[in-house]
Amino acid sequence: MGIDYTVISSSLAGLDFLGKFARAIIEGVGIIGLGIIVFTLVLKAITLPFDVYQRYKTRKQTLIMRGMKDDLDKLQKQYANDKTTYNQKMMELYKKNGYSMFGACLPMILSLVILIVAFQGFNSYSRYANVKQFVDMTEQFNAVVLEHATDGEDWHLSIEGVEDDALTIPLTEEQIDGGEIWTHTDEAGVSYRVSHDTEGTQEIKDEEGNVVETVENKVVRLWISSEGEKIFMNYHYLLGSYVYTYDAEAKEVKKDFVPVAPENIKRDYEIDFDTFRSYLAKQGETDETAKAKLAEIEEKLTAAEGEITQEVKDLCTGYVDSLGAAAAKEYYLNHRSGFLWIKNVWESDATYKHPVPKSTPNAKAISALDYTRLTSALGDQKKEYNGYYILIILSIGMMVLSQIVTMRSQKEANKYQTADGQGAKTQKFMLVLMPIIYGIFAFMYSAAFSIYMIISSLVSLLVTVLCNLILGRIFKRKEDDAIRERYGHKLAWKDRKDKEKKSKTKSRK
Amino acid sequence: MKSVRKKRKKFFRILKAPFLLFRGLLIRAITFYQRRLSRHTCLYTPSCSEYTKRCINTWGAFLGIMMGIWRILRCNPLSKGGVDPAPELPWKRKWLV
Repeated sequence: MGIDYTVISSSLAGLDFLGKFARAIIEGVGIIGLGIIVFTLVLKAITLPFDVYQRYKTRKQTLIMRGMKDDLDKLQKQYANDKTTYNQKMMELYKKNGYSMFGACLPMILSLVILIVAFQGFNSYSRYANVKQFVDMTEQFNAVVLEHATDGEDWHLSIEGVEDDALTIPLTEEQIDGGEIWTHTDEAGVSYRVSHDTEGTQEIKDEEGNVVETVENKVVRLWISSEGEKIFMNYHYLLGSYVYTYDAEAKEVKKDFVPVAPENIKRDYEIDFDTFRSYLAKQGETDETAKAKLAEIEEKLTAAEGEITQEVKDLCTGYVDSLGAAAAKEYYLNHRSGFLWIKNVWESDATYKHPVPKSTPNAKAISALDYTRLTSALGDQKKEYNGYYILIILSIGMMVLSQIVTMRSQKEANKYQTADGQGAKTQKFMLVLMPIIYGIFAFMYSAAFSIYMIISSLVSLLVTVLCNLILGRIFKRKEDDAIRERYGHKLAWKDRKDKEKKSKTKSRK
Repeated sequence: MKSVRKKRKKFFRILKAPFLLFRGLLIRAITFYQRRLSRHTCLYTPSCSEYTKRCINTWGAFLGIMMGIWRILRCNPLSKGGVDPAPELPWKRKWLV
């Protein structure tokens, strides 16, 4: 009756290195939204020194370029017909003024790499978080349902005669064949019973397809049951079965007993009907739904003249499932990973997405039947809107804004620093391309990544504005000096300083 | 004899086709980058993208990309830059002297 979650937990191992990094930070902070912001800031802090250095250098180079402009124009007129000499002279001029023409490639690639790192990290962790929620919900489900089940131990057959294991059933193959049944009751009052059952028949064929013999499919099962006030679920499982093969040489059918290995044992839960009814009757004194359920079951029973039909069985399992689903719902509502208006941060902020995914994030993780059983109480959450496109619009808007601001501040640098002033053209293209890429990311992937993109654009916007302010202050004096020098103006205090310097060098001589 | 050689040549050309297609796609992508996305700021001549393109053309996709990555790593703010042409295949190199 419980849901098997070993498969789901195994799919949790898919968390890669970057996902683990994101998980460590986000779970370390505690509040999910804050954790994402901290993760963003950490990534930004790593690149900040490079970014500021780059801006400083660009500014400096632009200043030098501005000073050289007149000389360059002169050169261009002088060597208008001779391009190679012009280039040579230009290079000499650059070297004299300490000007390196272009920036390097690595920093540009680095920013792209960091975007991929962040994307991969968030993607891997959001998948992990969605699956993890299902695993935790399944645990709650099982804990509640299995409260009503027999708490037995898994005994197993050993045909080779391994006796040292305490849980080995002391039976030989002949005993099983002969139909001898082993019973056992342990100290806790749990009783074990081995049965030798026939389940249908099988036709054995020879190579030409003629039926040689018709045999009965024989299986050996272990039934475990116990009695208690709340316990109405018993379970059983397959211990082993007979496999028939046709031996062509001896012209006879061979019979082999194949035991099930202890690790492959699969429990089948079954509701003990009389105990369940008495449990429901007792529960019905306080609980209205249990009373209604009991009445429904009794009605179906009288309609079938006392026979327990499949319909009645489904009613019983439905009641037990509803107990587990209620526990799963309670857990979900207490532990959902929301942020502001978004119900589930690991899905994108759109109305067509829902806080509880329509199916499991990893289709292999949990079967469709188990999924419906687990989320049967979460009907409202499956229909709810996850978000209202706010984060998507915000992330696109922030990107456009930060691109425009960078474009404005780098206008001059683009003119001087790139070949034929192509930087401006590229930047215009980027102004269109980057918001489109960010929009697609925000639509397709989790809201957590949208939050990352917004915070990251915001930080880069702030850095641009602050850098412009501070670097403007620093370079203003230098720019003033350069202008004065060009027009032959020298400041009185600067004259004096120069004279002092000269006198010092003279005295040393 | 000649026809056998021709057949063999044709067979190898068919085998090579997907690799050449992949190579072409990569070169197309780099050309798009050069025309639309690049800011034309590189310390070296030829630029990193041009270098990678030429390497992919002569050495194949895998080696070419590896060489391109190594070049981009060299093209950092600490290096001086200069002329650094893409390496040729050794048997196609033209030796002076």
